Amino acid sequence: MKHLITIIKGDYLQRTRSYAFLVTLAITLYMAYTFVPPVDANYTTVRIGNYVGDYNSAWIGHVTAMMTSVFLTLIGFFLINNSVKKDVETEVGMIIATTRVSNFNYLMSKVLSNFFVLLSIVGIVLFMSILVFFLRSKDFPFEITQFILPYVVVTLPSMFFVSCVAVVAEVFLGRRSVIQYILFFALFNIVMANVQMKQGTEMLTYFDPFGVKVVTLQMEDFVNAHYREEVSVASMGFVFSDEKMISRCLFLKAFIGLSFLL
Amino acid sequence: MSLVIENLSKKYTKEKFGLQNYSITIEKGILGLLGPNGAGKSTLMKIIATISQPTSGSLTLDGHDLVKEPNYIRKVLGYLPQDFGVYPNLNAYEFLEYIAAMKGVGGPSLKARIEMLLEGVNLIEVAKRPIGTYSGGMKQRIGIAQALLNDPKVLIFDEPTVGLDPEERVRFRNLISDLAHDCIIILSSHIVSDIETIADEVAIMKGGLLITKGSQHDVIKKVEGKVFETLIDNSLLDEFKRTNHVVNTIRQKDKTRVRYISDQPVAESTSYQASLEDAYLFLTKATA
Repeated sequence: MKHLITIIKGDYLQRTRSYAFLVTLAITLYMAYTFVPPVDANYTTVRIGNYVGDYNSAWIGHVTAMMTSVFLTLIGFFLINNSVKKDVETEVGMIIATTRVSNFNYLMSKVLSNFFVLLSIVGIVLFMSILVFFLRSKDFPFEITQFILPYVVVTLPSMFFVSCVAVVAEVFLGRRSVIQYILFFALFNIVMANVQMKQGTEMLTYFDPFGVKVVTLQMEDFVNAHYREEVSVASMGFVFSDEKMISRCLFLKAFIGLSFLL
Repeated sequence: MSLVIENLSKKYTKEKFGLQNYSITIEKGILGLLGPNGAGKSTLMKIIATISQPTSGSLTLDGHDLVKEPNYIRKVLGYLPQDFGVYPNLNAYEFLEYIAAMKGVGGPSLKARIEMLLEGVNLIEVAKRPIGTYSGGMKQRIGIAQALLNDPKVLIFDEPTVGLDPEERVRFRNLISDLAHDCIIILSSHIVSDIETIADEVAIMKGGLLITKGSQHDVIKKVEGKVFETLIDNSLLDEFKRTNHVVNTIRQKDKTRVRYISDQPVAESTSYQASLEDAYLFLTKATA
């Protein structure tokens, strides 16, 4: 176990000290800043029918967690999808091949170091989302659990998912990076299309590796119950519009609990 | 400790062999593998290091079949590949700790061992700098240090002196000589002087075949009494090269001093003491 931790640490340090990591971090931070638009902005990021939430801790926590889950899954894949390939290219892999480390342990170390690389970015984005709360929100109290819970329940599992997919892709497709990128991009679009479909029309109801569908469904139920609407679709992403018909609603608490993870 | 290789072959395509019916027994001490590029040295080393599998033949260490039980040699193996790469963003300590963990080496003595090895390869003063900032020779020395992390009993160095300056070469040779008492060291090079100074035995390879193996004395004996030098006109040099095994030439104004190997020396030739380089060049050319 101690050896595995040392292996993960070495791999993690090598990758987080790279320019690719810093560039990904910078882009993600900028995007995180835009996940919660100013009240008078002409775009939305998460919208339930015609509703967006008031800028309290619950709404900002959920929106930034969901958007990070989706956005970082996409660009994070390109950041981490080279861990095995790098070992082959540098011939460090040649040395590793002469050691007693098993294939399983080696690949597990790659998955976990991928995960920790993404986890580092998520941690900084979480901090950024709290800053955005203090910047955008005026009338609501700060509740740390409303930030941490959605990140733990939505974002972290999706980061683990993409960490596994990146290693599996490298194992089965080797150095054919372009094919890996195309297949992952296709998978990403299928998942996003599935997530944004109307309730009951999804291709696969439980095919939600980003963990956002469960949240948007509960948000829709909340809007329908509290505002007597029949909303059945949520939109995610940067949706630009000049219309000023968006209504505000008050989400008071987290939609999800740790039981969701099970 | 004995590494026995019998009738080992590695076939890449129907007609391309990396090794052909290669048999050799390697005991404790330093074995120098000499051969031109493409001779099969790296192929042999990769098979012994269990990175590559032979197409046929057997490979045993103390009676253990290394194809079936690769971990038997892996726990006592140190390996430096030919084109050794590094993690450029780690410093020397971090990189060696990483490789040590891969090798299953740890415990309280690890830090002291890493420092001892960094002293040994003369990198202790730059050990906290990222390896990406090192010169080629410094990276090569990190490669040597990682090979020694697990106190190996079988050491394989594929072209270890590439990129090392003369002083570092001497340091490397001393390091290896100290280790040679109780382990098998296999060292490949096409620089004869590297092998000449430290190898107990020499194996000369060409085209995937073992041409000869023995002590340096035995190998040199194959050309003893056949090495000559003479001065010839530059205009006759090409013709001379066609009819003799020329191993070296030195230009001197209108004439050229030629060192050659022959059973029947030309007139005005002087006999010289044969060297390993003479034997190597003669044997690899003779089998062309």
